[in-house]
Amino acid sequence: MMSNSERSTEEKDRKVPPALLIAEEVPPVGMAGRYDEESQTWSNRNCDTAAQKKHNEQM
Amino acid sequence: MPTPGLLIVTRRDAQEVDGVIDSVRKVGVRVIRWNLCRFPGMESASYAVAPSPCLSILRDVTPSAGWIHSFGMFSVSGSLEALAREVALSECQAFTYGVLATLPCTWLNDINAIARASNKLVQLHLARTLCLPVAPTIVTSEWKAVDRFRQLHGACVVKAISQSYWEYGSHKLKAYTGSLARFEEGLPRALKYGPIIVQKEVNKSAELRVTVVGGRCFTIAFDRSRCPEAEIDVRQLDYERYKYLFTATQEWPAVERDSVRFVRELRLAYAALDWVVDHAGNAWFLECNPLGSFKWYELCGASGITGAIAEALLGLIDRES
Repeated sequence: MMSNSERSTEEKDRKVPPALLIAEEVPPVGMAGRYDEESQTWSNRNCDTAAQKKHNEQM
Repeated sequence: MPTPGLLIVTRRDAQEVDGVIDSVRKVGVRVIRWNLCRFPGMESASYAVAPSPCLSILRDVTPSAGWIHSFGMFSVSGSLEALAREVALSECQAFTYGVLATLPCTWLNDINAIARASNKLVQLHLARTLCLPVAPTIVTSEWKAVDRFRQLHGACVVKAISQSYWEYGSHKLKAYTGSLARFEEGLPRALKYGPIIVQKEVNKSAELRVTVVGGRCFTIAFDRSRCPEAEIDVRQLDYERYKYLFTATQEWPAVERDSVRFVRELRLAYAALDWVVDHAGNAWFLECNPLGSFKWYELCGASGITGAIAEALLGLIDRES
């Protein structure tokens, strides 16, 4: 995944609205055991963190 | 007496809805869950106009109350591309809006209230009207205006206007709040394709998430002063790693009062508001999300949000029966 600071000049010159200019790809499923607020899911459903366990227990 | 019914509009993977469903089912309410992410490809729906608006997925349930929890994306967002996708999404959105705007049930948050409240210009205007503290802000597609603004106010941040999360095929994109200086190179050209929010940067010592349900507030403070990754948008944090920095707080009664006032003005019963606290201890309003998620904050100590939503929904059902 490329951060904004790593983007090439060519990429910055693309025809994109400002919202897309400041947007970044979020990690695909399986890359990290993170809770994703927007999609309200854990990015890795197989990861067995304490927080995920608690989350699932409370469901 | 007919069994009371509740319609919940959400997405399939929104697990936080399940706790609310369990709570209302325990008291005999029939719940219909409409996962819009499965419409229309995996689950179809029909809408009959006469004699009164009726939706096929409701089958024999007549919901007296409804909860629009999340819109997610329609199934066509992943199965189509380009013009076909845009047209299909537009049709699906129009269908869903029409259904939700006309079904004869009482909503926790009405679709029109959500649409209005989701607009950041409306939020900024209302915050000003209610005398909430808002950092100097400009929304513009003009680079000269951006340049003048930063000369006047110093360090600024940029934010998207419409939303901050997009899905397109396998792409998932988030527009994080970032320093204007980081985007100076590409921004003048990008402004030809749309406007953006530019706001004077607040040097944050803490961030507050106030979840309002009815008149109740559930507030979580994020202690930014103890976070080594001080510059980034809170949504970029490794939540697990920094969970200890999120704590429930009751130390911001004025912020909570303002949050409730703001939510009521928008004719909402539920919303999640974001505030930041500067190093002098002043709280600044950032934004309001009428569809904000709540489970993470419950896990961090703001216990009772699930129960409060269930109570609010049951209150709507009782009112209508």
